[in-house]
Formats: sequence, C-alpha cells, structure tokens
Amino acid sequence: MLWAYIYCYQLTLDSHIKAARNKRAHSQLPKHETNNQYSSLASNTPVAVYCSKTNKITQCNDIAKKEGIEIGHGLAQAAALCPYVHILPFSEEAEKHMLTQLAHRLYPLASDIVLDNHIQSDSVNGLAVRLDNLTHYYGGHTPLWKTLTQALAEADIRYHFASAWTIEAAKVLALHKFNTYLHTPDDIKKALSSCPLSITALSPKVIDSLARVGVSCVQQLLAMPVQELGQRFDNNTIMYLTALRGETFPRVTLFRPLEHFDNFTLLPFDIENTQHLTPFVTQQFEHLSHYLRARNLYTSSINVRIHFREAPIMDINIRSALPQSSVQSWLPLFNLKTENLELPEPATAIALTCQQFEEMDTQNGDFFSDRFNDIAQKQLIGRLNAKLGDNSTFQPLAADSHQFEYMTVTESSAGDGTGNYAYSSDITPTFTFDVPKPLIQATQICFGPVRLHSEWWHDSPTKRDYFIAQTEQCVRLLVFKDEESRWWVQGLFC
Amino acid sequence: MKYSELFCQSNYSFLCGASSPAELVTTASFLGYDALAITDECSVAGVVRAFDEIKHQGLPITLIVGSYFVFDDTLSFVLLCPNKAAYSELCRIITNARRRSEKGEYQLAEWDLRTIRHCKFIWLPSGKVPQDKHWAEWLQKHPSIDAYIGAQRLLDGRDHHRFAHYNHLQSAYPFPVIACTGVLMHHADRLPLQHVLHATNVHTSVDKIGRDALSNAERSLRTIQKIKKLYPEKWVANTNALAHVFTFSLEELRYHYPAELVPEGYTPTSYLRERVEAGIKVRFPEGITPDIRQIIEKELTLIAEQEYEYFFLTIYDIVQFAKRQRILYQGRGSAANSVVCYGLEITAVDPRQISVLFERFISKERNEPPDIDVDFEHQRREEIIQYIYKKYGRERTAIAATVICYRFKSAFKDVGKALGFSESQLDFVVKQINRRDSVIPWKSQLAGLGLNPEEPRVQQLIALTEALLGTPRHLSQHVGGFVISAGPLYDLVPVENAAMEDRTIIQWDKDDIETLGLLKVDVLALGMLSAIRRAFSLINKQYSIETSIPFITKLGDDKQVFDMICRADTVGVFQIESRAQMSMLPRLKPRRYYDLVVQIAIVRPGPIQGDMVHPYLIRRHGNETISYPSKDVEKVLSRTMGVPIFQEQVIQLAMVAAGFSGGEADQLRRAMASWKKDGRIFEFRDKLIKGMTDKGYDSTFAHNLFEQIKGFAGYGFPESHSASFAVLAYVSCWLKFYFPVEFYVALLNSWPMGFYSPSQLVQDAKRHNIRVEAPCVNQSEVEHSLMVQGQEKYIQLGLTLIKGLSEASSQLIVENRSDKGYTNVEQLQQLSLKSNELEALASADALRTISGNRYETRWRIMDTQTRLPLFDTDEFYADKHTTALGATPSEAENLLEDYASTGLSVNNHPISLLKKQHKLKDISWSNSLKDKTNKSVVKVLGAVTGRQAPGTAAGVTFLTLEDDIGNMNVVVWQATARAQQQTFLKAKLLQVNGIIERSKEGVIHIIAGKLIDRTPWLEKLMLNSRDFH
Repeated sequence: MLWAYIYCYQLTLDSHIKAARNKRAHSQLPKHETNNQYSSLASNTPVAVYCSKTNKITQCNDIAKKEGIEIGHGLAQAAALCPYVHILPFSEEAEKHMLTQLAHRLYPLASDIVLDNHIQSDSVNGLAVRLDNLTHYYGGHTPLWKTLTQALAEADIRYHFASAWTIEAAKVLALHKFNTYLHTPDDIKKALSSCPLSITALSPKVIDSLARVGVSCVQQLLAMPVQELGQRFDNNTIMYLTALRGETFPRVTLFRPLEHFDNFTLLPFDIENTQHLTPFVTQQFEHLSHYLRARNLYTSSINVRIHFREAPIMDINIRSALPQSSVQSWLPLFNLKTENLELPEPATAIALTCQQFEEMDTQNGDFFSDRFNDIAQKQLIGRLNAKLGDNSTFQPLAADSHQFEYMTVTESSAGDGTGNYAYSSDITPTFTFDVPKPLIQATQICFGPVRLHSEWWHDSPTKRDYFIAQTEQCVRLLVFKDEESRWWVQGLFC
Repeated sequence: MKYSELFCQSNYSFLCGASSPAELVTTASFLGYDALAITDECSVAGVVRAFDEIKHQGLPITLIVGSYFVFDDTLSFVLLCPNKAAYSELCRIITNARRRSEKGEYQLAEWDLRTIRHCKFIWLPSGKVPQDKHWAEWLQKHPSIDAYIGAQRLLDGRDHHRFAHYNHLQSAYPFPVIACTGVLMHHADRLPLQHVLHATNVHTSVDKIGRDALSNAERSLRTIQKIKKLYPEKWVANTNALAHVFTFSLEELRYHYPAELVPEGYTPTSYLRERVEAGIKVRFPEGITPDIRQIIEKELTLIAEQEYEYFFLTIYDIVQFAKRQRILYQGRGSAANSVVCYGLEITAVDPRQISVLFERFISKERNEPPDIDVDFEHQRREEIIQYIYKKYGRERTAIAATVICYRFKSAFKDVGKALGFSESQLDFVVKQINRRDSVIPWKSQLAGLGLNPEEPRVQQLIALTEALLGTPRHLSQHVGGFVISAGPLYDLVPVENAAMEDRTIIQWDKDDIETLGLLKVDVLALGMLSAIRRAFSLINKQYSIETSIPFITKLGDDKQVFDMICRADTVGVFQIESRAQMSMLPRLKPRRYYDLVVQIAIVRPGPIQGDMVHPYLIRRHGNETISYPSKDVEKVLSRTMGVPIFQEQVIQLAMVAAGFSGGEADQLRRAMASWKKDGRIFEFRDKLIKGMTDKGYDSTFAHNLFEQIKGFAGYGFPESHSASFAVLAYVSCWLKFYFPVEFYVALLNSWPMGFYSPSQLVQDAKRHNIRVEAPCVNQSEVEHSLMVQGQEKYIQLGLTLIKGLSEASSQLIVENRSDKGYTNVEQLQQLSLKSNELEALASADALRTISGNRYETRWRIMDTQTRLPLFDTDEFYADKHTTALGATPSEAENLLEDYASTGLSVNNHPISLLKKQHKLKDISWSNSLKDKTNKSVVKVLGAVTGRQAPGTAAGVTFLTLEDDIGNMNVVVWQATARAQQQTFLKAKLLQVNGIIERSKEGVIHIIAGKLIDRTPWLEKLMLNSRDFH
C-alpha cells in the first residue's frame, strides 16, 4: 500500500485568511474600509491562533514567528513578545469544515480518503489518501501526485505532506515536514529513521518510557526486535509500531461524502441572459424533483451555481417558506430571483445543489386542520423573499427587554422565530412607535408611573416615567416624561 | 414622618447587592431613617461592617440584624431579630441551611421554618395566587411564627397587580402589611454596577440580561417623602410600629472563652499568674531583675484589666500540647513579644534582647485585641488543628472567614465580560497592564492596548471596574484563625462549610471578629520551624547536645554568624534568603539581633516605596546626623535612627505628632490594611496633616509622613512580627554556620518551603564543600540523611527524592535491607514493588551498585515476562532471556535522567558539560566576578533561574543566572530588555555581555548590555525538552 498524508497545520488561520480575502473580494468598499477584523489580517500583520482551553498558541503566521512567537506559547508570552499580534480564537468549526471541504475536493480524484480530524486544539488535523490503487488510472506516480497537488493548491490551505506504506508512517513523515513524495520502501525507511519519537502517535507514557532507556528516534525503534518490544508494551502500541514499519495495515474508516443532491450541467453554448438559462434550469429542477420524490423528501432551500470562464462562480440561493419538491414550485421562485440579475460574463455551466432535506411530516397532513391560511401566508412570504431578497420581509416578536422600543422586534421571516417572550408589563400598548412622538394634545393621566431606567450601556440611556393617559376623544396613549420633563407619546392602546 | 427599611441587601449578598453595609447605613441615616435592617441572603456577613460604621460615625440610626431567604420558587421571606434569642435562632437557621449544602450554597428545610419562635417573619408574596394561598394558610397554621406581609412598590409596571394581591391577602389572612423596598443599592447611581453584578451572576452581558434585570433604580434607599407617596399610610405606620420592637444590638453578644482551661480553685487571673511564675523559673533560672519583675506585673495588670486571661491561657494550652508532642512553634504578634508570653513559653524572644515595651504592642487606649499568631512546624500543624477540634469539639470551634474581594484583574475581567468585551481581549489587556507603573496609570495604558479611553464603552469599563474594586465576591477560609467559644458557636455567629473537607468557617472575618471583641487564635504553619526542629534532632543525635531556640538566643550575638550574614551567604535561611534581602545584607551589615529585626522589615515594598531605605542606610553608617522635630517623635523613632520602618511606629507617630486618639489610630491601622481595597486611608489625610501642623510640625514633614503611611499601607511590616521572625532568621543562620550538614539535611527534609528548590540547595551545599550523594537503594534512607565517614560528614539524599516511588515502597526498601544490602534486582522485585517504581529506581540510578547502567537496567525491568510467576528471574538477570539494549547513557543523558528522576544532579551541571563542548575562555564565571574591576566589561553565562520585575524598581528586571559554581545577579534595564525582547523573554541559557557594578559594600551586579540566547547549546545537549529548575 501507499498512502499520502496531508497535514493541515493551520486550518483556522487559513479559514480566516480565506474569509478575509472573500470579504474583500465581495465588498464594494475600498480595501482600507473593509471590516477591521479582516483588514487587520493583511500579509504584514502578525497573526496567531489562540486556544483558550489550553492557553496555548496553536497556529501562527510567518510574521508572528519572526516576532518570536512559537506554537505552544501562552497568551501572555506571545503578547509580551509582540504586543500588536492579532489573536484569533481557535475554531473547531472552521477546522472541521475546511478539512471536510478538502476531502470533498479530493474525492473526485481519489476514492479512498481517511479523515484524521479530532477537533482538539492540540491534536493533528489532516487527511490520508490511498495512492497505490490509483497509479494505473493516472499513468504513474508523478501524474497522480501532480493532480492531487493541483487540487490541494486550489483548496488554498497550508499543509505538509508525505507518503509512506501506511497512514501511520505517512503521518509521522508529514508531521516531520518531510514534504516529499516517496514510493519506494528504502526511501520511506530512510526517511522514517530521521524522525523523533515525539511526533509519533505513541502515547506520551510510551514515549517517556522509551526516552528513559535512551530511545528517542524512530530509527532506534525500528531497529528493535518486535518480540522485545512486545514483552514491554501493550498491544495497541505494538500494533502501531508494526503499522509504522509497514508490516500491518490497521483498518480505517473511509471518508464518505454526505448525501446531497448535486447536479452539474455543462452548457452547450455560452449564455448571456438569465432567461435563457431557464430550459437548463428546468431540466435540473426535474432531476431534483425526481430525486426528492424517490426519497419522499422536500426541500426549502436550493443553490444554483453559475460558472463562468473568468469571473468567479456565482451562487444563487433560493429559499421557500414551505418545503417543496415540484418543478412548478421552484421554477417561478428561480425566475423571480433572477429576472433582474445581470451576469458578469457569459455562463459556461450551471450546478444545482441541495443539501437540506425535510421529510414529509405526517402530522402536517392532517385533513381536519385548517392549514390554508398558514400555507398561503408562507407561500406569499416565500414569493416575496424570492423577489426581494431573504431579509426583506419581517414579522413582529416580543423581545427580552424592558425598553418599549425594543420590546417588540421585527425578525426576518426567514428566521425560526425563537426567543419570543411574553409581554410582562401592565402597560404594554397595542402599537408602539419606534420613535416617540411629542405629546401635543391635552390628556389626563389614568395610570402610572412606571419608571424605566435602563440601557445605560447604549449611546442613549433611558430615564423615563411612563403613564397611561387618555385624550379628550377617549384615546388611550402610552406617554412618558423624560429627564428634561418633556412629554412624549410612545404607543397607543386599542 | 418616620420610616425604617426592613429589607435591605448589602454587597455581602454576593453578585446581587451593589452597596457596602457602611454606605447603606450612612445613606439611610442621612435620609432620616429610624432603622435599617441589613438582610443579606442567608447570611449575617455584612452586619458587623454596618454596626462598626454606625458606632464609629455615631450615626443616629438603629441597625436591625436579619437575613433574606429563598425557600423555593414560591416562597421568599426575611427574618429579623428583635432580641438576642431571635439572633441565636437566626444563626442556627442559617447554620443549618448552610451546613446542608456545598460551600457558598444553602438549602432550607420546612423544619427550619417550623422552628421559628423569636424572629419576625416578613413574607414576600410571590404574586402567584395558588402558591401564595398555600403559604398564607401554612403560616396561619403555625401561629408561633409572627408573620407580616412585606409589600414592595417598585414602579416596574407590576405594582398594580401586586397591590391588589397584598390587599386581598391582608383581608383574607391575619397578617399586617408592612412597606419595604428590598434595597440593593444605597443610591440610584449604583444601578449600572448592580446590572454588572447580575450579568456576572447569570454569566451573560448587560445587553442580554433582559427582563430578569432591574428595570429601574427603585431598589435603592428612597427618601421618606417618596416612601410616603408610594405606600398607603397604614402600611408605613405598620412598618414603623414593627421597627420599634427591634432592641437587639450586636453589642449584646458576649463572647465566652472556654472555661475548662482554668482548674478548680483558680480564677483566670490567679491561674495565669501561677503559670507565668512557673514559666519564669524555667526561663530565668538565675532569677529575674527588678526591671523584669516590674514589666511582668505591669503586663499582668493590663491583661487583667482587659480580661484577656483566657486568650493567653488558650494559647498557652495549645503550645503546651505542641511542646509535649515535640512540635516546634514560635509565637509572634503584638502581644507575643511580652515577658508574659516568654514566661508562658509562647515565644522564644528573650525580652532582654529587645527593649520590649508591652504597651507598644498591647494598648489599653487603642482598645485593640491582643494579637498572637503561633507558627508551628508546617508538616505537623494538622496535629494541632486536630487537638483543638478534639478538645473543644466541632460545635465550639470554627475557622474565621476571609472575605475575598474584587481585585483589579477580577474586577476588570468581570466588568469587561458584562459589557460584552471578548474574553481573549480582556485576558490580553489584563496581562499587559502594569498596575505598578507609577508614570502611566492603568487607564492611560489601555490606549496602547487597543481600547480607546475616549470611547463611551471603555469609559464605562473604567468607571465600573473602579466601582467594583473591593466589592466582596465570596467567603473563604482564613489561613489558620480559630474562633473557640464556651458554648456552641452557632449561637454567636452562623457557621458554614468551607471548601476543604471537614472544615467549617464562621461568616465573619478577622476585622468583624475584632470589632465585636471576639478573640481568635492563629494557628499557622511555617516550614522553617520544621527544618529547625529537624536540625536540632540531628545535632542531638550526633553530639548529644540539647539545642533549642532559647539555647541559641541565650548565647548572644555571634560574630562569626553575623560575618556570614554580612557576606550574604544566606541561601536557605529564614527570611533573609531572597535576592532582594541578600543584596541588602552587605549594605545594612547586621551585627546584632535588632539589626535583623530591621533588615527583615526594611526589604519590603512599604519602606522601599516610602523611600525609607536610603535614609536609614546613610544614618546607620554615620553619614548623616540624626535630628528629630520633637522629643515625642524621638521617642518613637530613635530605635530606627529617625526613620519610620515599622507599622507600629507610624501609628504611634499619628498619635504623638498628630494627636490621634486611640480609637482614631486603630481606624488608621485598619485603613492602612485595606487601602488597596477601599482607599479609606485618604479620609485621614487632612486630619493627620492638620493635626501635625497644629502641633507645630513642619508641613513638609507632615506630608512626607502621610506618603510614608500610604507606602506602608498593605505592605507595612509590624515590629512585633519582625522581632519573632528575626529570632528564626538568626537561629537558622547559626545552624547553617555551625552545623551546615545538619542544616541542609533538615532543610531538604522539610521541603517544600522557602525560596530555593532542592536542586539549588544542593548546589549551595556543594559550594560549601559538602559532599552530596545521589539516592541509592543500599545507602539511602527514606528521607535525606546525614552520614559520617571517618571525619567527614556528608549528605546522603533519600529515596523520597525519586519521582514515581511511593513513600510506602521507599519504606519497604529500607526496612527489608539487610546489613549486606541488596545484591540484585530480584531481591527488590520480591518486595512486590510495582514495576514502574522499579523503573523509577533504575532511572534515578539508585540501582547503580547492583546492576548495569540505568538504561539497561530499566530496559530489563520493563520486560513483563519477569513478572510471570514461573519465570526464573535469576536466569533472566543472567542475560539469558533478554536482549541487551546495548545503550550507554552519555554524560549529558545521565544529567538529563538525573533531573527527570530526581529534579537535581549531584554529579554534574549543564554548564560544566558546556564548558567541555565549547570554547568558553572569555566567559567569566560567578566565582571570578569578585576579582574583576568595577565598571569592567564581562561576559557571563548561566541558566536563567529567576526573572523578577519588582514594582519597587521601576523599569528594571533582575535576572538570576546560575552557572556550575554559583549565582549571578543581572540587572536588565527596560530599554535593553525591549531592544532584545525575544532573547530576554525566551532564553533558558543566557549569555550576558555587560558591565560589572560593584557597590562599596561589595554587592556585585552585572548591568546587561548584549543578551545572547544560548539555549541552542542546551538543545544540542538534548536538554531542550526538560527544565532544569
């Protein structure tokens, strides 16, 4: 066997750099006006990734290294060495996402991939790719490795790599930053010999035991008879050691891409106008519909990806307030979303992806419930969102605040509506004005005061006495007196 | 109109109340309240502070003692104490509720409620109708509970419902309604702080606290006019009527010492006298002079007047137990340096050596309780604690509390988190801020750390951090202050669980105890006492000489010992062993006992920040004439050459020069102790300066004195403690000089203690030409031992040093060792030692006399086949079954293994190995520095064993470099450090090219110029992954 190990040593940092780059690319603002956090990740800024659980720097860029910061330093030491270092928190999520993405990217090129992702700040994140069964497809080691490295380059991540007879051996070499493609046993053995034991996956206890008898590098370990080692160490250790020697091949769990719908269509000719995309999109929707029906699934979100020759890929996300499966449901939403869309250049291919599925809920199929209004409302919201954008429709919700202005919030209809609080005050009006209006008519106070002294952490702290007042026309108003004894109307009662 | 607030929580309701008890009573008094109840949640921790404030400020307000409780979601109430019986009841309920739960928590049982007989019960209805109905009926069924409905009007939009509910309850049940606020703040402007505390409590930020938080500042002390507007007249009248029944005052608490200490037929006074007289015969076998007799009589009279006999007798009883158990101890503190204490054998400070003025330490006028701390051997203090528990019972004994308050870091972080700053940013800023920087205040430093002080949120962070400083955070356990009483303690003060198992604490700290006149006995642990006792035993065993602390002090000041002290050859001795103390010794040149008292007290931040060191040194060496502004001042300062060095002197100066009364001086003393927390010391500034100028003192002198007082605050060292410490310092020096081997053995056996690691102590022993042998299965005892070979005494390190070898196994090895010793590993294996322990022995090279090199030995021991029952181990060790490793450790590997296995190496030092590998001809070693001319350029090399940046030395870092011969002190100026930051911060092995600076007293420092990181040399020695120290 021959495995390559790709050791991704700074996924969190890479993810941030990528995000910064994307943000800049997508932003209309000039470079210096983009978000502070990302703009500070310029190539001349020292950046370090810090894990608060272990109080250790886990990743850092070259500038930070030049300032003396090293992996394993505490925050205080790093800050002392370089007070202006930009600290990013270690992100398990980013690490996991980036690694899975990388596996997806490599999957079309190599089927046997093993994810080595432990989601711990001090563990190694990487993946292994089996190569020996691919060489004849690619016409030899060199073209195979070239293809893979090209894909890795496109992924835009920093990595060290190595190849060896087992994942274990390849990983040790990759951690040793060997960065050479080896496929002959002699080369691999020679390379392994130079590695220290501290980078192997042996437990710290075993490494310490070996160090205490003067064994500190792999070469010494490889020279020892397995029988002698077997008399001194447990089975797991021996299994690992034989794997390192390439004598056994531990069972592995291969990476399987998540099941989702992904349909890629190469357009027969370049298309400049989105309306002309409709036939091809319809075809794809039909595939999707078929895919969903076959699985008794629905979806409320799809992604249409438009590829161009030069311009970056364009993603169009379309959401429906109600899970749908039919062409008739999705096509109008696509048309609404794209009717005013201008393509930067002629499209060469389109892809339809759908990652989120919903099963048919049996409870929703209740004949006796009056679902018509609910469905009509959701359909309307879905259409409006498709036409105007996801965050264009809002619904009111009660919020967790004493302040009347903030007591009712409008949340995007695309949201899940969580965090809806019951109103608790005796004087919550039926309608609240976002901006209070001066009280200009004669009123009579019939309830109060309710004192509000809050939001001091905002720019405009509130110090008000609220009352319910009645006008001569018997309209009840929520009024308040501010610190300067001015009277305002906050809301109306019905 | 009158009003009394019966429900008020101070900041002793942790993370809830936002004002201190003192602020609350002061404001309530200002607002004209008749009475204020301090009702912290299941606690009376804050009441003494309020009581103290009322007493000292003479506030016309009655303090009501009570507590607020939450039984569950449906019931909360306040218990108030109208009389002493009710107070005891409250303490019992709190104690029960607290003892049922983990530290800091409480849990009430219905049984607790049923037992209420004396307390007034203010029920706070929940507003939930069915539940309130249940509890109203429950209260009705228990007529022994005198219940009231506490009505709150908070202007939060719910008052309408609440009032309707109160009215309904009032008409349906026979409970009168009283008006109350449920105060959490003394003033409305504390609302932001209350929000921050609440946010911290629920682990969120202020913008997310939502409707759980207070919607306004109505839970502050409100004016009586406002109360009148808010509540029906009847309810306020009910409140006032109820407030009048509270006659209980904390002054009523009478503390009784355990009476069993005085045998029948004696009064406390006569028994104390009898014990003192008996002790004097032992201490002064030659009889006492009339002077001493006069002092004794004076002291005994003062003790009798103040009724402190039981206190002295309690400590006497404890130290007698220690004496019987041969546990070494030493008393210190304001009263410990009296002839009475010397007679009672509480202390070994011979009053003839120090001009003891008992009144200096115990003052009737100042009405301070006597302060006696007793230090015991740290390894045996638990025996004393168990004796106290056994003798007095757990109901009558508890440890005093320590109130843990917000300090800068915790306050900044909690406020920052509450304001929504990210934790990593706060961590970063807190670590970067230099609070000792006297040039740039911390607020200005924020700008350089990415926080713009002009930004409103940052301004809030600054203001709220300052407001939070000193706010109590939780109760903790005092290091060793026991309160012992005649009856159950929970009659006097609630007792709760401490974090440590089987320890209980009372809810009051030392200041509260002092305020109420309770006496605590401090049972403390001191490592040096263990070392001294062990040294005495070794000397006794070796030479059959009975040595003791009094024996050594009676010999008088020894010239040779003081010569050694002046050379700063003081590694390992008590107190005067730190780098700062050692560099002061050649300057101060102590020649007698009292010089040591000064030496110990002078190298402290207080005198250093107060700029007292230099004037003292100049005067001591006769380079400046000493003058005093008055006779009174001369009396106070003459013993320290006109420079105030001790805390007592500052207090005395305030009395004699500024006319402070005893009570005021006592307050000043307390303010000094808590300056960092609350800054109350500034309240005394004007009075002190005015008092002095009125008495004709120069205003510069007055201002300087205040600055000195400020410098002392928090850091000042009392003469009474220094006097006791100086005895131990001298005794340890005496031992080091006359019995060095015994001294080092005792010190190593008493470790962990002191300033230096075993490795550094062994290095020091070797520098004194003492042979030190590594642990060995055939030579070592469990502990380190003194061995004699011919005329030579040497140190045999014990098996205890070997990491991974248990004490029981060490014991087994020593007990089963025959006269011939062990001859093979098999014999050890037959002792059923665990294989990892045998491996530890091999790696420590403790099997060197019976096996091969440590690598081979360990490799063989690792073989699991040797553990098989049928395996012929003889054959195995004859190398027939196992393949030899074929590895021999190099010198460097041996050194590495020594450090890994035992933390030290007796055979080698990394620097000596480097000397062999590198050409280091131009390097000056520590022993050659004294021969270099002053201001000459030198290159030194050593392992960095210490980096100290004391706040007292602005911008300077002191590095300690260790080579194979000794230590070197390097001074690195801030600019030098900044310019070579990486090397400065990271180097483990450092070469310093600098300039020698030698003071005229011979103290050598190297002023760093170029710093070169030589750590790679160590890495080449394969030592990069291990620390040497």
